[in-house]
Amino acid sequence: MLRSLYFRLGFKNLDRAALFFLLPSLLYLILFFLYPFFYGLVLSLTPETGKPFYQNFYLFLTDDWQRSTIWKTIRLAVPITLLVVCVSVPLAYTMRRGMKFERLITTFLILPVSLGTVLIAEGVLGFLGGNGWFNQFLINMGLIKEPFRFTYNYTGVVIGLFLKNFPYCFLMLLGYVSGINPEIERSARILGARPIQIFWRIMLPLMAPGITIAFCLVFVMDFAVFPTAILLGQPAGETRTIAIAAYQMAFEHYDMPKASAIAMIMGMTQMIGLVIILALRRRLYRGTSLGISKG
Amino acid sequence: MGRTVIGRIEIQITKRFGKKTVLDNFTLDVKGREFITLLGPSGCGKTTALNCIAGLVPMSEGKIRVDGERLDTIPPEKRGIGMVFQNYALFPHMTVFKNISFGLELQKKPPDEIKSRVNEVLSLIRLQGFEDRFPGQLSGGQQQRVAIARALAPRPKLLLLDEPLSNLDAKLRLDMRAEIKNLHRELGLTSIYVTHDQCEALSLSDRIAVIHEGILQQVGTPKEIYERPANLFVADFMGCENFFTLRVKAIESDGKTALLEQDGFRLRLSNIPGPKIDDEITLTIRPDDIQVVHAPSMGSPTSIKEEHNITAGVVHVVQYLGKENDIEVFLQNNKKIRVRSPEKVERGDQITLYFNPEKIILIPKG
Amino acid sequence: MNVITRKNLWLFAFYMFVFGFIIILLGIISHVVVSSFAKSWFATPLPHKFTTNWYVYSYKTFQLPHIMYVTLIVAAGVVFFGLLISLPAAYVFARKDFPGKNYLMILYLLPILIPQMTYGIPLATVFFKYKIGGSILSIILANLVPMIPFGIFILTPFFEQIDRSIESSARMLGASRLKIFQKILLPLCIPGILVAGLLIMVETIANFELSFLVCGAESQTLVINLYYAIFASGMRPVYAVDAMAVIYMVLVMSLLLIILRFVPPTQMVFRLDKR
Repeated sequence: MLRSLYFRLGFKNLDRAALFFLLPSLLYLILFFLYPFFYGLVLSLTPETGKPFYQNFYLFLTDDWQRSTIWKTIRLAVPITLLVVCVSVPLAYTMRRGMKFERLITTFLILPVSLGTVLIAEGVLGFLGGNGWFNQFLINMGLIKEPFRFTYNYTGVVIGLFLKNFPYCFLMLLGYVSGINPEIERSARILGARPIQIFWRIMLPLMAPGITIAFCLVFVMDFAVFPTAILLGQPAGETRTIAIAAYQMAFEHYDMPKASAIAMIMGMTQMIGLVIILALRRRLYRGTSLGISKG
Repeated sequence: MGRTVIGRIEIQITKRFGKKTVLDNFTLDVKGREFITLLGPSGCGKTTALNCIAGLVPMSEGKIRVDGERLDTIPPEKRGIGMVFQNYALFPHMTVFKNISFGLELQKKPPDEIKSRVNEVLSLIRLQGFEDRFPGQLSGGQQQRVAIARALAPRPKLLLLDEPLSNLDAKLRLDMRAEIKNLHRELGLTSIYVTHDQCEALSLSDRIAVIHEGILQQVGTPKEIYERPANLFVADFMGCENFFTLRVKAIESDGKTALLEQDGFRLRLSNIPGPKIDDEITLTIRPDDIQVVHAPSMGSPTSIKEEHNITAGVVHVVQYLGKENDIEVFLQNNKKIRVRSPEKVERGDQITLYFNPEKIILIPKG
Repeated sequence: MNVITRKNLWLFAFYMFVFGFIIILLGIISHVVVSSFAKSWFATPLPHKFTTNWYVYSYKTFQLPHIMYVTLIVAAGVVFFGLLISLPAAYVFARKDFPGKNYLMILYLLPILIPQMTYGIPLATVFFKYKIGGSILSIILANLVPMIPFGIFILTPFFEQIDRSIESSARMLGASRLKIFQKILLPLCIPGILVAGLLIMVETIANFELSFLVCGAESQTLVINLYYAIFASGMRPVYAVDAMAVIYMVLVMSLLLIILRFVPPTQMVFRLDKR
């Protein structure tokens, strides 16, 4: 009887069930994500007594050493992201229709993604260190006299991040490119286009949405770089990223309001970066928000 | 709801999706044991109507009554209706046996009864021995039969079929049509069938309901729909092609026979009800019903007795169909018509056509 | 150059790069492995003497059993609750279109887009304030924040793949919604649950930032310990650190072997065509 009443009301119970299904995840995110986030926001706007509300931000932005972390982070994130994406795109494109040893290659490439940043850092320290195999090999071959300095500097962080980001970006793009209908390419060839033209004028625009998302994701991962910057770089110097600044303020100085302010600045700067990326993309490929037809 | 045979189903559905009215007070009375087809082009609302009857989609307004009792206030799983879907919708992780027994298990029937019922149904669709196969191992036709068996196993009183044959190839479709009709009769079902294929509708149904943009156009027996379409849409959908709009120029002394003319094309018809001068009449004639009374291949022209209902034309395209030819002809007023005739004609031939007044179909206004 | 040669050159360069990358990767990994077995090693191609003592040393000094216990409990907790919470949500996302769905999706994307540091620091603050900071529970709770959306994004396509008419036909045969979930949906999305569970497990075990921020002295995962060991490697012999690294690698790679039986590598990363 009750069920038929619900039913007569036009499937309201269906929507109720849907809400019930969504509720746990929604509640969880509100409780453990939105609430802490806003708590942090409020904290960041809570200065020491007597000071204006923007005090925490003001202190960070006027302190040269602290403010410089923004630039240092950008200086790391942008070139690495560019490098990773520019290398991944042609490689993923080449492998779009399957390749010899494809399964083997992709299996190896998933390793750095799964092993994580900390392990890669340790590996790089050993392998590419002053006494590691890489330098030893080159010295023994007589190619160089002094070992390359790959660790505890900017280069180290670049290498560490590249090792993790490249396979990630490559695999993402490979999955995406493989999904583009091969008949599009075939018809272009029949119409007389050369492979280079096909790439630039047809495939690349089709890949643009995927490349943009990949770019954004890699950028996000690099902007937040923390353990790699500490282990492989110079956390007190040229690779002192904003994440490090935030952490130190929180767990070394135990100044939560200031740490939250830094975290907010970090989030905002990253968002601005994403907006810039999306705006650039719009300018480069006006009107090419095509849906990808699955082959 | 008992297992008894249905006497009568009263259907009244209005369905809106946002601002769009998909079914506008769609009213239909279905007789028990009847095979009725909802016929119409894609998007006309026929599948929506079926889903509303099934209960899978809520109605915006309306009622559905079976033998006087409300059906639309009951959730779909309790309505006791069997349904066959266009893409079979078999459960891929269950064997044929488990698929068919699914409904029976939900009815909490004892295992022996389930087994015997499943076997009974399997023999009806002639797939004994296939119990342990999985849907992925079956052909399209076999899957469709299992889908039908699954719907019939719980002995529903009403069977709904949503374009079940459109995914099959032509020959299989014909075979399956016969099977569906057979099952319907043998089991004493009431069936509501949805299709866009007028041949299917004509061959299967006791009655057809033609729907266009959510509005019922005509309900009748296949013969009625085919020979006396109620309006332009039904005529066009049922395959009528050559449409003319002519004006009544004169009426003969008997008051019934009218002479119509338009652009030099003259017809003399006796079946117009209450003809008046200057009336505009829309009519159509099927390609098969137009006779080629003279063509160059037929030798020199003989005298033709009829004064009216003939016209000359030029052949534009000829398609050989085996039994006959499909001929596109341009008439004097540049109107293009289609003729089906076994006569040999070629592109460019001047031919004479006869329109048998008894085969001309009048299309009522509105 | 005619087309064929140019194409071959390109392919050659491609393979060179890929294989070069893989060789460096293998080099890195093997270096760690070799080092962990070395008695002492300095500027020579291979150590002069090998030993397994460092594993024993590692075992004792880093309290490996406890760390493994913590790591596995955290992983199990995140996988279990992550799946439990994201499964129904994924079903709704796959089936229903409702007003505000896009905004909701953006909300679910945020924990993945916003740096873990940014919401991790306030999260840690809140946890410590309410006295749950530093416990295993806090690590599980913290990791669930990005893993629930992650699970949803992996599971939704699996539900979308199940044709709606299968559910409709089950309903017409008399199944209530619960029965449909139990007998039809659940069995059909078991592959998806498997994939999601395994991927969540790998991500959680490898997670650094969040776990790092909320952990306490007694609740450090393997990765965190590894980090501290490397960081303080002046005080600890690098071979012991590498031994621990190898143990971590073995753990992850065995999981990977299991995963790769079910999931191709291109599906283990974020799906670009989700939008």
